[in-house]
Formats: sequence, structure tokens, C-alpha cells
Amino acid sequence: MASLAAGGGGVAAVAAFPGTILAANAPMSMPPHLVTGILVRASSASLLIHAAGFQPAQIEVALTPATEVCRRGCRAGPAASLQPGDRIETGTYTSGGGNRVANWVVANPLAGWGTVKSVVGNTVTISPPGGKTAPQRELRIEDFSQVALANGTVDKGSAAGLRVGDYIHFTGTGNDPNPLTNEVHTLVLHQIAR
Amino acid sequence: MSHGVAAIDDCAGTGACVVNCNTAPCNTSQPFCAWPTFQECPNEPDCLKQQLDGAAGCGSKIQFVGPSGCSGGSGTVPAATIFECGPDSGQIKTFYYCQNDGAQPVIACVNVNAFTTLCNGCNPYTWGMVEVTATPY
Repeated sequence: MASLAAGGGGVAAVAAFPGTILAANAPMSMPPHLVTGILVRASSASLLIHAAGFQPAQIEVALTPATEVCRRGCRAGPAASLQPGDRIETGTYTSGGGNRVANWVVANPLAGWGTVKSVVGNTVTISPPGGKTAPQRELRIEDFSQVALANGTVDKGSAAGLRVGDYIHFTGTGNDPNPLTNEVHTLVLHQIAR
Repeated sequence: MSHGVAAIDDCAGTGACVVNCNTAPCNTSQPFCAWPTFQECPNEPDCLKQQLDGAAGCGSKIQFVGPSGCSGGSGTVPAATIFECGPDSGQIKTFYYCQNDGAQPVIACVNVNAFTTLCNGCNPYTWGMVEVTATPY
């Protein structure tokens, strides 16, 4: 697990936390480093994102050749894989010209915890944590998926190190914006305990 | 000060981030946090009554600090609310209800906003987890 989690716990420069993005009665602004919302349109140069409840409600985010775009895997470059209606989360910075520029973009993100119920080939089915009513996730371990095992090794594209009963955390993307979807294209899976 | 791991939860379905004992509503907009070494007061079954001198007690706040080696700097989330994780009435002390007498491997269920702050703008979905330190705030 530690190999993928950032190492060290030192205290260095302190960055002010810009507050939550909690939707409130009064429209709030998105923090400068993050935009979440629904994709209105995508081009090779930018994304237009509708951020309901925020001011402004439509936010333009520029793309660069270095922008990491994740939708069933991640790659740098054009956002051709993105589709209008996708649920978008994007990490941004402000350019010298005052525009938002995307460091990374994730379409239809999914993340959570669970207990491994079965491992069939490269499909890992997990049950939601106790007390939580959540979809039974089917985690597809694909060529791009990283599986960080509790012993510190990282497997790429293989679920061979996982066992029924393991407690895991995952991130990934769905095929569509539905957050309750079962199928997850896994980006990173951490075996927390076994 | 505690060391642990922070991660995100998409809050799909009902319930809450498990490290909050499923007692708080799951909301991806709020940085829910738990603390691995929180100690429950003796003979006190109701988590809402917990208080600890000299440490973050029930409903108090902690500060999370990200790693110094992350993309050139660390981030700090100074005002994350901690939820006491002791079994409530009728709850069984299982792994999923935080065990106050043991360390949790995942100490924090933070939102994407907080995660990216902790790791200086990284992509939470390609990191998965980030190591943090937690101190009373």
C-alpha cells in the first residue's frame, strides 16, 4: 500500500485549505484548484462544465497536451474520450492570463471501500462496508489498473494477489455518469487488509 | 499526532464513510475524517458524550497534513471534523465500526477537494491514497 500512497509525513509548506465545495443556499465559487460538474462540451482546447449551485454555473477549463484525462484509463492529450453529460472532476490551476487550466480530468469517477466477495479472472466483486447501502461493485482490473498489495508490491493489470475477504479501497471510472453503477474500470486498488 | 492514510469515497448509496462509523451522512462535499488512535472514555457507551483532555474529542477538529514530498510541497487541511468512532448503542464493535482500541488502516475519508489540497493538486484517482499526519486543531 505504501508504494502508491505518498511516503513521508513531514510538515513543509502550509497551503491554506480553500474551504469545502459544499453546496449551500447562496451560490459558492469553485475553489481555484478543482472544478466538478457535468460536461457540456469538449474540444481539443477546453472543456465547458456546468457546476450546478455554483457561481458561475458554467466554467471553462483549458486543456494542454500535458493534461491527464481519465476515462477507462488515463492518458495525456486531447479529451476525445469525454462525452457531454459525463460527470467531471478536474484539478486546475490559474494561468498567467487568468484562465483555468486542467492538470487532470476524470470522467464519471468512482471511489470507495469494500470487502472482496469474489475474484473471477480479473473481475473483483466487492460488498459495501457494513452499515452502508451501496452498489455491489464489480471492479474490472484492466491493463492500466494498479493493484497495490498489502505486502508493498504493485501488480499492474492483475488481480492475482487478491483474495476473498480482503478489505480494499478502489478508485476508477464508470461507463456513464450514474454514481450507482456496478461496473468500475479500476485505476488504483489498495489491498488494505487481508 | 497520528500517521495514517486518507482516501476518498464517492458516497454512492446510503450510509457514510466507514471510518466515521456510518453515523454521519455521506457527502462528497465535506471532508469527513476519523482518527486511528482515538480512545474511547472508559464505561462510556455513547460516543456523543466522549471527551478527551489534551486530544481531539468528539466533534472536535483535527488538522491533516500531506506529505512533504508530494509534487514539491505539502498541503494542509486545517479544519476537518472528527467523528468519534465508538460503537453506538446497538452497534457491534466490528471492523466497520471503528475500533478505538486499535489503529485503523484508513484514518480519513476526505473529499476530493481536501485530497487534492493534501497532495498539492494531485489526481486522487491515480493516487488512491495519501499518507497524512493528523493533529488536534
